[in-house]
Amino acid sequence: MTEREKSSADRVAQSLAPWFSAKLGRPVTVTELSRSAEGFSWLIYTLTVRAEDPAPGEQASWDFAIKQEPDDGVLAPYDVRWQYELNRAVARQKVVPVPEVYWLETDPAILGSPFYVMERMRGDVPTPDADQPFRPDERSRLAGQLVDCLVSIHRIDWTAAEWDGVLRRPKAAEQAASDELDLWTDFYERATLVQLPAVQLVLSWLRANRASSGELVFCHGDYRNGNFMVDRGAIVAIFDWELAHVGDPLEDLGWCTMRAFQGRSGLVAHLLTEADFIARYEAKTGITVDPDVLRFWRVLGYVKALGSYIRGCRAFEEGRTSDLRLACFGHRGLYLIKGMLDEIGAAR
Amino acid sequence: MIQNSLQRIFDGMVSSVTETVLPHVDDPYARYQLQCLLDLLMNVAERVEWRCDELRGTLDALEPPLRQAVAAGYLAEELGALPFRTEEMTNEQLTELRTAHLEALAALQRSDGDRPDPDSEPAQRLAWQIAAAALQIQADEYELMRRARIRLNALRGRAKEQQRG
Repeated sequence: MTEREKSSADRVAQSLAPWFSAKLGRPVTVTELSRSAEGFSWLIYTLTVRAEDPAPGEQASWDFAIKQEPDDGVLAPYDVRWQYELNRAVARQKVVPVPEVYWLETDPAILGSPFYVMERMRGDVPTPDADQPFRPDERSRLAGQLVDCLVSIHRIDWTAAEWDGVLRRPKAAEQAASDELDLWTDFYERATLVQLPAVQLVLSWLRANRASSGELVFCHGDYRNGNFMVDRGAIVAIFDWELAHVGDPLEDLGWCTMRAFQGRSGLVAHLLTEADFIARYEAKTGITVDPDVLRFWRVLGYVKALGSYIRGCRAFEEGRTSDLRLACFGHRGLYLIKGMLDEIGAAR
Repeated sequence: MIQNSLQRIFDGMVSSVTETVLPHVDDPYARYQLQCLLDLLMNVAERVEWRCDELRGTLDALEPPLRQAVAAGYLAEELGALPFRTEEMTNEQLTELRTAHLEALAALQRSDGDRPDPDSEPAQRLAWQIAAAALQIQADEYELMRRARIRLNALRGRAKEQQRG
């Protein structure tokens, strides 16, 4: 385990108190700090900052979330400055609910590595294999919002100057499949510790079945349950934009509709059928979802997910973390391989 | 295929439990159980290797496509001299050979689009044998994981029953 992982909540809180005092221009204490168990990339803390001596009527406390760059993880290497700028740019669009981003700190002396501070949202994050934090009668509204938020993201004007140098983009729509396939093949190959013949079989299938919708949009890159928050039957925040790029809209659709994220529900994000998801998306965007194109992107989605699993195993093997969740990816990746083989009709 | 080495898995389990679990366990009996767990893990680590029947199974699945590739001249010269397993091989040798065979198969798979004669009978036979090996290895690995899950669930179920009783 690295020194950073060993950081106790108390030590983090003590380090942050003078930092927040400087930012807020008054003496403060940091309380209720806890490290989130969710996520396999960034170290995420939630905390409350309290003014030490607030005047009557003055704001006395603030709730924040902190994302700190890890030593290593499933999507290494990390770039906190790029991540901060990207999240701020997304927030400026005001097309979907996202946390406001406040400050970037690149000095590793404060917490041991760079971090940024953002608004702490209130609600629950539904995850694929847990009990769902919404009532059955809230499902219909959430399902509609799930599709509509994706449509709104896809409508962000990625040609605007503010995205220059921020988002990777293909030269043409037809190039998107090749670019993403090359990117994730390379990511997987660099991470692999023990070769997996079934994955090479799938990569070969992907090379032979590259497909494009002919459209380019702003892709979230990781749009699924686990990356949005719900509260009182509504989606109140969408997170984890670190894989955002310009790409094929069906890339996000393929990813979001992967069975790996459905638990045992058989429903996209435990909310709606794939057919309903696609019908609503088509109706709202006018984009036709070709099943073969969708399948290409979904199979590539499995490779992308497996690549991050294998990257986690490498981080564990090289001793940069002793997070046992990452070691478990070594066998849990077999579910993803089964998923990709099912998609191409090759599973036994 | 499990990606991490056996010894790193043991070391990582001990590090994680020592640094992230033990400090949060106050009950003396539970702490002693955890300390015994760590002691057992390190003692088992000194005595185990990957199972030889599983290693042999993987190597047996890989052998037909690799022999076919050697015969058809599809493997690069350095891989063409690949040895195959023998009964006398130790676990360590089997593990090393598995790595070499998997690398050789991956090299073949990566170059499948570059073959000058993809529709020829040897190339078609090779493609079929590669697919068969890949799916066999995946099925064997998946079965191991399935058995582990069943065993884990059974033990958890028994523990819960005892807690209730």
